[in-house]
Amino acid sequence: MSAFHFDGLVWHWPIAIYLFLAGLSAGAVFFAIMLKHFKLAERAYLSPFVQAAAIIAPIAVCAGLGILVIDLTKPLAFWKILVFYNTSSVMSMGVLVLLVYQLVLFAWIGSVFSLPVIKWLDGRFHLLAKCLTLLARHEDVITGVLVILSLSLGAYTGFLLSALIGFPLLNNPVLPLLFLISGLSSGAAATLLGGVLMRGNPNGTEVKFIHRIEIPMILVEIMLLFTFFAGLILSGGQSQVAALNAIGEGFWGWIFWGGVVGVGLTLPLAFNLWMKVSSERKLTYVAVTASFSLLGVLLLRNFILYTGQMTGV
Amino acid sequence: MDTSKRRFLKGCGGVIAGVSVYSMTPQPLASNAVGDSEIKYAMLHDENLCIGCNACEDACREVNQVPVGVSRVNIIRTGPYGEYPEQSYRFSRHSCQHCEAAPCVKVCPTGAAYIDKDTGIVAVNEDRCVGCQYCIAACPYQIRFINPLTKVADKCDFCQQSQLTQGLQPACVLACPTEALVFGNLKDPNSALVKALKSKPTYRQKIDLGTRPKLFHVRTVDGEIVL
Amino acid sequence: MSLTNRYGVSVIYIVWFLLLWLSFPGLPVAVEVRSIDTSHCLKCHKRNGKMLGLHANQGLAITCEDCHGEKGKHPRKDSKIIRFGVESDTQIKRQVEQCLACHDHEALAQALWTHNVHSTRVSCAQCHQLHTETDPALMLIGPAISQSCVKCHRDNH
Repeated sequence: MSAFHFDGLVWHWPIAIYLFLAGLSAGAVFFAIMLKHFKLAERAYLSPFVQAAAIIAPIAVCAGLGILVIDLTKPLAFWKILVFYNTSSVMSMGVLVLLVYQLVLFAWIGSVFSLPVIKWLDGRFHLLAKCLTLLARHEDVITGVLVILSLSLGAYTGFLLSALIGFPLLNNPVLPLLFLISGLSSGAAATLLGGVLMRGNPNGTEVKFIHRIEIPMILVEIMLLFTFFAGLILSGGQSQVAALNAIGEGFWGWIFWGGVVGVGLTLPLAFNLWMKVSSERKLTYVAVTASFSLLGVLLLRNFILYTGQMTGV
Repeated sequence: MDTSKRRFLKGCGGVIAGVSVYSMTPQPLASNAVGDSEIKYAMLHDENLCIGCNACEDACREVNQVPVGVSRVNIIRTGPYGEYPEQSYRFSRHSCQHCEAAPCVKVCPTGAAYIDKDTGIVAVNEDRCVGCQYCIAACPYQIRFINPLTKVADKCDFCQQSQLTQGLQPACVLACPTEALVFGNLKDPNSALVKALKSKPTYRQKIDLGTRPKLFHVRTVDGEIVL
Repeated sequence: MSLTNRYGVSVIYIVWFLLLWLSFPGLPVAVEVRSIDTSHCLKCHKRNGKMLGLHANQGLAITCEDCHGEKGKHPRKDSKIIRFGVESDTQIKRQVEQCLACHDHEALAQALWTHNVHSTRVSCAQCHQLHTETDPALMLIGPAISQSCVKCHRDNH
């Protein structure tokens, strides 16, 4: 039995990347909204971090959906998912959330960037400008709905797997929460990384604000991860077998302890704490920390997907 | 700020109301089979009568045009038990359990996997299947597979299309040389199936998952007691 | 006398060619061939005695007696000759023993698991034929394998 090929394996790494990108998109949007609401207000569109989030979020969610469609055995029939719905199916509801999310996401981007865009249009495309003004007028409603949708999308990536009753490691109530939190932190990391690369000030208000949320979020993530595996081990039976198979010796054990816990959680936490006490944040510091977080979340998605399917009931 | 807050709350309220109304609307094919039909098909596999010859799998492959490399039914052989020359094997049927609360039906995003209301058969609507493989991952019995020719999630449907419509028993039942397979209507007290179920102790797999499977097994006298 | 003078060399040459000639196969001195084709059994069993299959391989050097037992009183009644097949009056256990004298039951089980369950209950010749050029049981592929099981088990059920 190898790490990537074993009996009972149905979903491969493209699904993990899809889950990663969907969570990342939701997280980036969530933090952009938080930045605007609590710190930047009307000047949000000037911030490279909000701009980065506005670029990353739609690209990530569209790329994720693209991967999902290509991974179907009948990619050309994907439109049927959009036409036929099944309310008891997590995937069906998730697709619905994804669709509405994308729609509202573009509306939100339109409303936040309405001012510079209308200015740039300079009287041309009168209808477009009118639409943007309309969106800007309803920005508060759009923002509210988008917050709910982004949180739903983040949680959906977990619910998608936790609906699989045959696998104790996946069929776990903590999983959606874990995926939501790790998705948010990956979004934060992507926003930071994109922001500093777009010449955002690595010592500015945005970075300080996000870092202040990130530290407790990493702590919560560690706690959730602990609860996740402690719960499985205490359940006994196949749950225990599944948990020990996953985090015990072997390829995925290394990925978990080295990649997810080490690179993905411990190092970013240490760097964040260090940056908090040191007087100035530097570009490399912020970028490396964010990259570690992103890598950790990507590894976590793959780790959960593969080890989850490794042990059935 | 006050107006924006009020608007935000209004928006949220609208979304919540929409979602709750949507979930109250009647469920499509995914609902559990309803009980007003006169027919509920089920199957019994007697592991004591089974000889592991695989005639069921061969017949199924031919009748339902199942490509080589995948199968709708196979007989899992474990053993040998005992010392030569007094050895024995245990055979158990591995195929769709036609669950009353089928996880595959529950997770299917398009309703391609559905429970036929008239017969209780868990069937596949090939046109609707997009091949997301969610059903394959969700099935705790791991009996679903992607048909390499049609690219559709395939499985046993008790030969609903190939045999039942012509008034015939499923191909595997007809092919079995030892009559180890009994197929019939659970709601007919005089059916061979119901009589067999009442006269022999049977078991079903993984019932603690709440799937309520309709594939029954008579446990073999061979094999080991596993704790 | 040194081996390097001409007498020594010619002696070595003579010994060398003698050894070469003796080891050459096909010469009656090399191996005592007890060919199954020239068996005295064939005087009567001209038709059904012909051995064409794998077991007739010269290298195996199997004789009729190796499987069927010594002639004894055969063809008179009460002979201890061993006959194979469904209609044989030889006990199944005895028939199987003859085959298992050479064939290891574990190796057979590896080839096909059904050997284990039939072991002493079914004689080998009920599925296998040794005299024919090819054993029909080894020629089965696909559904024909399960159908060969069905053939007996449907009747016995």
